[in-house]
Amino acid sequence: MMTPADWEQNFYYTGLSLQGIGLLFYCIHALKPQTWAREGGWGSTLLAMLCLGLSLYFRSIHAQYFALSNMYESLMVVCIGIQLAFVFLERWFKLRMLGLPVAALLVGTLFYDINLPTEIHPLQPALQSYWRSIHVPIILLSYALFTIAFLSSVVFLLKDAVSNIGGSSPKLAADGPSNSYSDKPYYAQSSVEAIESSLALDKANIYDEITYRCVAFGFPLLTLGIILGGIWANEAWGNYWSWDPKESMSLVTLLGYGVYLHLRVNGAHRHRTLAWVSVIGFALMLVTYFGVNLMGVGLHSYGKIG
Amino acid sequence: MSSTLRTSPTSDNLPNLSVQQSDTNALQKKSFPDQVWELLACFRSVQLAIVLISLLAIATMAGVMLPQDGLVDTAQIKTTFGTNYRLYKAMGFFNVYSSYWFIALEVLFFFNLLIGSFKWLKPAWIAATQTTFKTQKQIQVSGPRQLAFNTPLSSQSLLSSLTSTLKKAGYGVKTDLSNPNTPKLYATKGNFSRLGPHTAHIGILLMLISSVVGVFFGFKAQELAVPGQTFDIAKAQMFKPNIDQQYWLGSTPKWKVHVNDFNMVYYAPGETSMNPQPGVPATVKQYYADLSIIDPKGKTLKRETISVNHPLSMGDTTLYQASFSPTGKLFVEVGGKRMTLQTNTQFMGRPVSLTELGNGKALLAFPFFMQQDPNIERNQAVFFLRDTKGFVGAKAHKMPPNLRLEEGQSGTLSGLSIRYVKPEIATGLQIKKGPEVPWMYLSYLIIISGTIMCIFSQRRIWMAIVPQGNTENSNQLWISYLSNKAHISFAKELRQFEIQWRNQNGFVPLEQSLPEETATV
Repeated sequence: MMTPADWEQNFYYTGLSLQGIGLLFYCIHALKPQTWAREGGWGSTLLAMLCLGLSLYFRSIHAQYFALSNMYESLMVVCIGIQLAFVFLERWFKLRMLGLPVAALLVGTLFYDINLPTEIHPLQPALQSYWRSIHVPIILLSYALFTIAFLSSVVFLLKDAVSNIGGSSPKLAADGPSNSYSDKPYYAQSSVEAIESSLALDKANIYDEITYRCVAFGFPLLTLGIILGGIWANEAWGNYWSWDPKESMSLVTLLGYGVYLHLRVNGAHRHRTLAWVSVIGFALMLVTYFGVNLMGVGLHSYGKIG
Repeated sequence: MSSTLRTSPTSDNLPNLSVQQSDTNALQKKSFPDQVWELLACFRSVQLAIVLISLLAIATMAGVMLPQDGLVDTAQIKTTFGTNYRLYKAMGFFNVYSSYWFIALEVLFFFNLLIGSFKWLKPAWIAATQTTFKTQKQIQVSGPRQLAFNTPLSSQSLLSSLTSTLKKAGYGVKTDLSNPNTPKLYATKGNFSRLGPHTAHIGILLMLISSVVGVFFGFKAQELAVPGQTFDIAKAQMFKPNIDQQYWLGSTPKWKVHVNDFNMVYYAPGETSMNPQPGVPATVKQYYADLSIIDPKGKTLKRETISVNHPLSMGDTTLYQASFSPTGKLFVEVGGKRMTLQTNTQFMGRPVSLTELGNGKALLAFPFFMQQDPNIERNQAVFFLRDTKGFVGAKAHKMPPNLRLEEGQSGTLSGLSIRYVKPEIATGLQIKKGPEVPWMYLSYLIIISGTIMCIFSQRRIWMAIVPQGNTENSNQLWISYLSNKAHISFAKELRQFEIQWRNQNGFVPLEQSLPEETATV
């Protein structure tokens, strides 16, 4: 008779294997672009996401609470968030180059995650709140989106290094779908082909758009997560904000992405600059997520690794 | 790279000198408030906002990286920084978030937000609410963002068809029929998104103002109270207004708090899948304090059992279950008689209770608390009996007879029956008066609404119908479009429209050369 713990483990390893197969598909696609390889990668990622979701579900049954109280569990949620965001973005934007880095990152992260302590501990009183099931997943989903934004920025910067596409600014892009990159007046064509061609031209720049979309969605989520955390802290301790290292770094991350959005609105900065700001934002997020935990101090010390 | 730009004989082309001259004249004629507004110009730029946000991020990060008083032991900080300690301390490096330069940054940020919001709110409101129509010529000079078709429909049929398509796609459609021969259409959706940043900014301003209200009117206090104790919040052990007493404008409640009971509940074996292992202390599941609020006449106004995450609120004052602490009192029954032992001395650094029992005998009790001693699963006490000669029943080089009891257990020591009832544990209560809380929550709601509004894009489409020749069923459709974000999705939507128009309505794309007013650069 399989126990919830067995199901949890089986689904985790199945999810990891499927993501590995997805990576293989994307490697094939990178070597020789084939639709079946890309579709295979996408499908594997989707199935891997479902398996990880089931793994978390059975872990929660095993723990008798929503299993989101340590690094192992939170990293699993981040992976699910990345997969969810990716399968949607890939379908919507038909991305050709993002699958490989996303799959590689997911496989690496899932391998790392399985090496973290997986014991289930009883929840301490401070964590026994419905706020935990709201505040934490929202923050982690924002981290997932920022991760996709980072990978998209890296792809953009690589493409920029090859073909120098990052020198224009979004203010020009705001005037139309592709005018900042097109040598051909869009006006003169005035047909479906014109729009198709504008989309084709935008593919050179689509990774900048993906970065922006992910930050645009991740930023409100992080804001919401921080605010809900503040409300929870006020309910639990009578303090919205304690300048605890985790809180402070999450504010730094929020401010970092705030800079990205303001630079974007300002429009005077190049796409390349924005991509680098996104990379810096991701580095700040990593410090918030992992780095502060290593300090093992403050109100969020239960999130420490090991 | 090239793009099409409109050139027009506007003031944009005037020589710089003229512009400066005109500006100077305008400044001289401006009223005093306008001149102040001009002086504040530097505060309202997005560039300054970017600089300030970046500086705030760097400063906040410094607070994480540098050891902060309260989080790290001061002696350790002194050792680390040696002779530079005083200098760094004076510069606020060890109290970054209350340092003068951090507060100055926050104040600058506040003014940037305030003045910036005033500046940008009106244009955003206009962009979100204004209906504009464009003529064919205006569309033609709209640069690259336009489409043009020959259509086989009458202007009325065309207008009806376009309105239907756009409404189905969620657009708000307005038409201008002032000239029936050349009707115009303006379609837009996502207008509210233009107000998103400003909504979020207003929320941040409200949050900052609310926190200032909290500083001047709020207080915090902590009290360790044992069951049966009644205390006045104003006289609590750690009562502290949020600002120096001389500037504080708040008041303290007139009611008192009475602690009826305090209990700690542990995870029982089998209650969770993680059964307590032998040798591993049981985990506290929850702390419960039964509190009553008593008015000056002694009447109970409210009674509630609080726990972590479930505070008690009385007006704008809230009581939180924050901590606990053994008081040093041990409740026991000795020879069937209830007694309270008090730790009153020390033995090898441990607190010990030495209580005279009469007849020259004394009871020595060593308490062990599971939250302080990882080697025990339950609170325990070890009892020894002494008389005038020393430990009763002691033998040379051997541990004197003793009795180790967990709370609730009984036993006999040298013929004396002892029951260890329980140690007395005080509940640690955190008390907070926060008149700003409702405003703070409102600001949170506004900030979240604003940031969510920002996700969406504002899409605008202008259309002009131009009759061709004398035939009623021959019209040209000119389209200009604009989106502030999500350009690819917008292009996809336009493509869907075009496919539909071409296949169902027989639209034919119009080939045109660039109008003379436009230039390619």
